[in-house]
Amino acid sequence: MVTNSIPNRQRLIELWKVVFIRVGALPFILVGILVIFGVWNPAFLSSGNMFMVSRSATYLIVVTLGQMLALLSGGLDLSVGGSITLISVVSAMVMVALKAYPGVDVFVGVLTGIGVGALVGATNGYLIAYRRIAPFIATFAMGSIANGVCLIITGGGLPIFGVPGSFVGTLGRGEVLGVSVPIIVTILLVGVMYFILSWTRFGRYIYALGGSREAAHVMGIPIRRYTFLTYVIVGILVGLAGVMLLARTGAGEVTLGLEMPLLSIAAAVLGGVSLFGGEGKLYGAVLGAVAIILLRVGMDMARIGSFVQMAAVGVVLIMVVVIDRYRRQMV
Amino acid sequence: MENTAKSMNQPEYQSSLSPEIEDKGYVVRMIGISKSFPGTKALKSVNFDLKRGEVHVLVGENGAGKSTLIKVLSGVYQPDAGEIYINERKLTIKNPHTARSEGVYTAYQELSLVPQMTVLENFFLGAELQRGLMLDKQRMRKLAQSAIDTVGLPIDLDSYIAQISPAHRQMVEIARHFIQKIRVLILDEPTSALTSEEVRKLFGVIKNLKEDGVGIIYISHRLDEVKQVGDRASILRDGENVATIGIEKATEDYLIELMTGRKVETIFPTVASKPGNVLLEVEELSTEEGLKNVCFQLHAGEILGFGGLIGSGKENIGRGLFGLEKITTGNIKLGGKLLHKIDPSHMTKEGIVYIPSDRHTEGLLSLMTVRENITTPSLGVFERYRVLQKGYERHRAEELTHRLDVRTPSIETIVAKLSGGNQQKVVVARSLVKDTKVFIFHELTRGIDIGTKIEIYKFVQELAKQGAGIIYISSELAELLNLTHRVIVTRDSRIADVFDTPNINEEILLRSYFGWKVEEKMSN
Repeated sequence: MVTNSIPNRQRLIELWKVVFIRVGALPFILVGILVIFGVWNPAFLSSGNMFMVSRSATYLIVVTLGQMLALLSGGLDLSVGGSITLISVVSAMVMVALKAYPGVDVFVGVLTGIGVGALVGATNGYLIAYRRIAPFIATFAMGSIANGVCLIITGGGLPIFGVPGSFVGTLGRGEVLGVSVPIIVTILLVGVMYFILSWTRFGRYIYALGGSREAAHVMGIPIRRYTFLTYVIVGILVGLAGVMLLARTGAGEVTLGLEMPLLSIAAAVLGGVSLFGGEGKLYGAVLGAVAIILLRVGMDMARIGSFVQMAAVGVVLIMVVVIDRYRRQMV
Repeated sequence: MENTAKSMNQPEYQSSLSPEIEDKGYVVRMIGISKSFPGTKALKSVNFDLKRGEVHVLVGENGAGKSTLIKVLSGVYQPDAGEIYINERKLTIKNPHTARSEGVYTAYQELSLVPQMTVLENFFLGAELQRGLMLDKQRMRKLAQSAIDTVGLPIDLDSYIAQISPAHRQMVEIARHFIQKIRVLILDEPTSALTSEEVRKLFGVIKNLKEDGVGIIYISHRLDEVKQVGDRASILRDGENVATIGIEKATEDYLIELMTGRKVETIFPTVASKPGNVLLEVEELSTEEGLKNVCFQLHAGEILGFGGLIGSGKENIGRGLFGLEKITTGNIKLGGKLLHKIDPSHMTKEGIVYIPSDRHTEGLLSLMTVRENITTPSLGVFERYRVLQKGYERHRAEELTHRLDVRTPSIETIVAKLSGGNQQKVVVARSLVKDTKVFIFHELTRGIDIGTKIEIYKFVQELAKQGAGIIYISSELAELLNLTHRVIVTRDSRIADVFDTPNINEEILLRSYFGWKVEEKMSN
């Protein structure tokens, strides 16, 4: 019995290794989160709660999609926080100003919001691709500028109320066939992103750029144009996330995007996107965002304070990165 | 010529030579040194020695093994076989630090100074003198100043390396070793950046060092210098030490005879293609990185070789032509049409492909698969309504891996996992996805095994036969002499000579490289 169990155990370890090398640490962490918080408070696993989790994960997922693009191309985007705040505030202001024209107000407001996102992205892209400023500096500065502009136009950070109820009722709280609208929008966006990354030259070029700028250049890829485009698309995604968040909160607020830079980078990295560019899978980034939201909701339900939560996200992030490095050595 | 194949693993020591003193005067003896890199045998059982107070010159073509030999001595590389004696003591030189603690110092051609630091800081980098916990700045300054004075350098110890001229940097690189206890000083092309006045000073310094009993290994291409400072010369060819001779015997002709004389067996296919019409015209091309007024024509079906010493400008030809360097003046015409935008993406669109010499940084997307490496530069071919047709893409990638006989488990294998030769085939394959008119190959066969080389030579011939124009930049004389229709030699960033390949031999080519007189058989 004893002698027999050793090869079995070895086989089990081998099997575990193969699975681990294939999928990485994230799925185990996801299961871990579900088990721990599920045992702690069975309500955590209820369908109602899971529904709530997926709805609140949508915003982070959309921003993470953008962050992932920036990371894949060999850069990163620290302006997503300031940008989201600015988007929600400007979009809300436009809607309030056009209140006299129902329907038009929402339409124009949403477009303006996405436009602001695209503009911030284009500025980032211009600075990084054509002026050769390091992504860290360019986007950090843009985030700061966006935050500053926000505070100026809101007269020091007063929330913008009076967003049309129809807007909040559809994009924020609306449901189609029992599925919340933000979830539908997010699924669509993930689909679009899958298409872009896998089926277009743009997607391939992003990986090439992040893998080796020099090699991409020698291959004849217009590296500047595609770097620029990458940040524009990141901006549009952030614009969408900003508008969605506005629809959920119902008011343009200056604190809306505060944690987004850190959380979106954490989510992407959790999902296996390399900070050095050129490596990372779409489903990984999405799962990474879900894991972070699950962790937060779980801790909320366990009545763990927000300070501890902040620390916990950091700890999990470091854990995953360390485990992932270990995994790469095993391959 | 000994049995070199066997000696790779078991060096044949001259068994009579006891490690003990035969001649008290040897400060370095290297016996049976062999070193292989994947695909090449850089050193084949090389013997080399250096006497106290002697200047021993190393000559040979690029890639003959000179730098590998000195890197073995200075601990950068570990030899696969062989023994090293320093002051008749058998040593394993594990790393550059061991070498330095034995008094072996190397002044490299590619400078190892930190540009953002001052002359003084560079002098003591990694060997800072301390008094207690503090840097002993006074003593360092004094020592550095006296070293600078020895060389006669008119520079301030506090100026930054980035601010001083390349010649002064070279002198600092040499002088900074004078603060140490030197037994052996290795000078790798020390005069390439110096003016004649500075060269004279350097020779004075060398003379003083000799009198102090320092042994000096001196690598140079300049024969006049060799005769001026050298005592003995060793000639390396293809990783072997073909002769060690007294400097009085080192005539120009004799050295060239020793450096060349390579048998080129059946490695190269016979040149089969006939050049047709002018395909590419380059007029007065100059670049910021150093190319000066380059003019030449490339014909369809022609293989045009570019040769020259390292740094002569042949490296810049390919990069400049492809728009990887900043073009200051000049025109490029393709099929009679003037190209307005010279940058990699436009050149690629026009049907010009550049295969860089450095596979790892510029050639490959090493995180990506074989398929992606082959198809990514030409994705337009696979697009329908902007959507990639992945089936077609895979099909084409399969086809090309077969055509070039790339040995890979599958086209979805990450390219970094392949051998060097197969990686290079992948790089070549990607230029075949769509019609390419002009191929610029830069050191196409560097670091790959002979079998793959032969395949690649055949392949280059085939391309030419199909009417492509080929620019073949190479450091290997044999390739230039056996694969090309014409050879252009660059010197000082300019075109120095143009030869019809059938009319020349290694000697003529080498003379042209070094700028020694070329008597006959010049064409164009």
